[in-house]
Amino acid sequence: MTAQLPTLPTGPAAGPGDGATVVGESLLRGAWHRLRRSPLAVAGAVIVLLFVLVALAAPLLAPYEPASTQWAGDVTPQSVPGPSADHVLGLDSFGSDMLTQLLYGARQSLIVGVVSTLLGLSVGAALGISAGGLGGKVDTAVMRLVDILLSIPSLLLAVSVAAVMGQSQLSVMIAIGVAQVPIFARLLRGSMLSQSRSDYVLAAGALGIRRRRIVLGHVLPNSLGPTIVQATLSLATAIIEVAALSFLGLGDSDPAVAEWGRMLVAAQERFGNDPRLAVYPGVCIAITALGFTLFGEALREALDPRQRR
Amino acid sequence: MNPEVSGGRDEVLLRVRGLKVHFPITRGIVLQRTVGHVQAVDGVDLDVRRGQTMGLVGESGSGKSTLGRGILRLGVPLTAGTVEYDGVDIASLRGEQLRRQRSAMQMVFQDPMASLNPRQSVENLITEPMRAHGKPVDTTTVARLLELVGLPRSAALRYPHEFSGGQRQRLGIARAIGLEPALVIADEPVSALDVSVQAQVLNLLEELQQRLGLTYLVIAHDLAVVRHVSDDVAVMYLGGIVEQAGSDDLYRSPLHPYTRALMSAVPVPDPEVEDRRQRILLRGDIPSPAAPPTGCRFHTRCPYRQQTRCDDERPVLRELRPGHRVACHFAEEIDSGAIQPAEAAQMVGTAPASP
Repeated sequence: MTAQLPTLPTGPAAGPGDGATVVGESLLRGAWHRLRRSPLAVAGAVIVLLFVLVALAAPLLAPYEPASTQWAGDVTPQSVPGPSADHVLGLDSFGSDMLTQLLYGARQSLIVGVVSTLLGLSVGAALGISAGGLGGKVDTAVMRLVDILLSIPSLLLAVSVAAVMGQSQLSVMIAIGVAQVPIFARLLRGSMLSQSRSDYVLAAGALGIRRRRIVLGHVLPNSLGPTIVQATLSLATAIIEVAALSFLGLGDSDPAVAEWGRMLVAAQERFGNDPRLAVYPGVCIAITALGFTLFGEALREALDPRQRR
Repeated sequence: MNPEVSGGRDEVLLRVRGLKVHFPITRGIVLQRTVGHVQAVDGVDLDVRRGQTMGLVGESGSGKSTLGRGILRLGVPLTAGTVEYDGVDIASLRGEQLRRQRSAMQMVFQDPMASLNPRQSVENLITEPMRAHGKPVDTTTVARLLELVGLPRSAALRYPHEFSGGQRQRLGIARAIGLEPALVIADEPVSALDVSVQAQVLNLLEELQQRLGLTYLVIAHDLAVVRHVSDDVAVMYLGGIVEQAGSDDLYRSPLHPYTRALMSAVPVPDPEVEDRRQRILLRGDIPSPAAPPTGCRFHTRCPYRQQTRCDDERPVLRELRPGHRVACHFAEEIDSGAIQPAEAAQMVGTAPASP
């Protein structure tokens, strides 16, 4: 480059794409477009939607009342009646209609999964925001607490909480939520810290924007992506963990409540003669978890800034 | 750019005295002890005159960016010294006082993409700082600012990733001047841009200076950029200013050996002059600011190094000619030719350079 720079006119620069559309594409809008184009995301979303619909509409869809044991007489110690015209998927080991139990089980999984994930998310996010936003001593204190929680295997943690709080739906939700708290806290704190070091945060400081506003208005929105993805993936884990806790006998104490995990337990002793008793709820759990995982992974890719431009 | 700015009031808008920025180097995980300091900026005096442009040059690691951030108190702890802006010592301001002061002194960043929040629309990123300082924002504000930096009004609803590098830098500038600052510190404002766009952005800065009466401190490693925009130039080496003079004066007759070496690296457009040009090649890299050389910081690489004074006495900036200050013990002798470079090997007369 020479000492004398060419003098170029500083006329108005042309707008990108020139004019036709005036509204720009925000990051979220861009993510939405990418999401719609991804076949995995669509498959995941369809499964998730079906699951939610089934869960909400269980009373309409189910052919019978849940947990009615009116066909208990048909169940013998050796065998459980299989599919028939009256019972499309047959009976379960208590003599209830299998399809009805599965439909109502979806409901249970959805409630517990969503509530526990929301619980874990809100507590974890609160911890993560205070650690990542305030830094210093608060950060150290919060992260040591989270380290302690993380050092306990999550299922063991959930089992302990469920054992202490007794058998109830609420305790299951809290148990699973608590196990998710450290994951969300760490994740959010980490991405907030990395965002805090970026130039636009420095620029916001130079512009004299208040610290509180920088943390909540700039750092936090840019850090949420991984956390949203984790929440979606956590729904899958939560549904599996509900089943696991029920399987271990720590689930809801009310036997009238249909629950996939407990259906697995009941199927255990009859597995040799009637494997379908375990297969149905098992497949339900797997498909639902798969749906949330697919959707979560696609969401991760769609929100990834490297996918842009 | 417009040297005829004067008047009754203090001509100096920004007065930096003895500014030091030392970063502690710590060891240990639980018990951190300080084992040394990185002396990024070590005793800088600088005067920036109202309505003028001060260029700050130096190679990477010279501390020029740290100095810029130190002046603005941007995530950089000041170890010592004062920064006086329009008579107010900014170095002692804290919290809300400092925040309020910021509207008067703005920064233009090197990487225009990284310094814009990707989630903020243009309208938002321009008005947010204005609101934070209680400046009036109405429906025409954004359009007016966009027009001022040469962007179409329709840019208001777009997002940073939809613009080119040069346009993003214009956004960064619009955002800064929205606060009606008097001083703008531009840290490598064009080094991330294509050469073809660099001139446009520099011309924009110049145009805005004339229209708004801005005072600039332009930090750059590109001598051509600095010469193009600056009224005065300060040359920085390893945390200190080694020479400061009017732009033309400095480029015509550099006094400090380091400046001479820098200047000799710039090609001259005239091929005959270019052929006769002497180049001074500097040995090695800039020393670590954690363990700077004793005496003159430049003596380890200086081709004019003398037996006395250079390695044990740190030279201070002294005014050799009116407005031309240099930190070298032997500047007069070097200028008059009484002292020649020690090793002939360091001087390379450029024979017609092979293409």
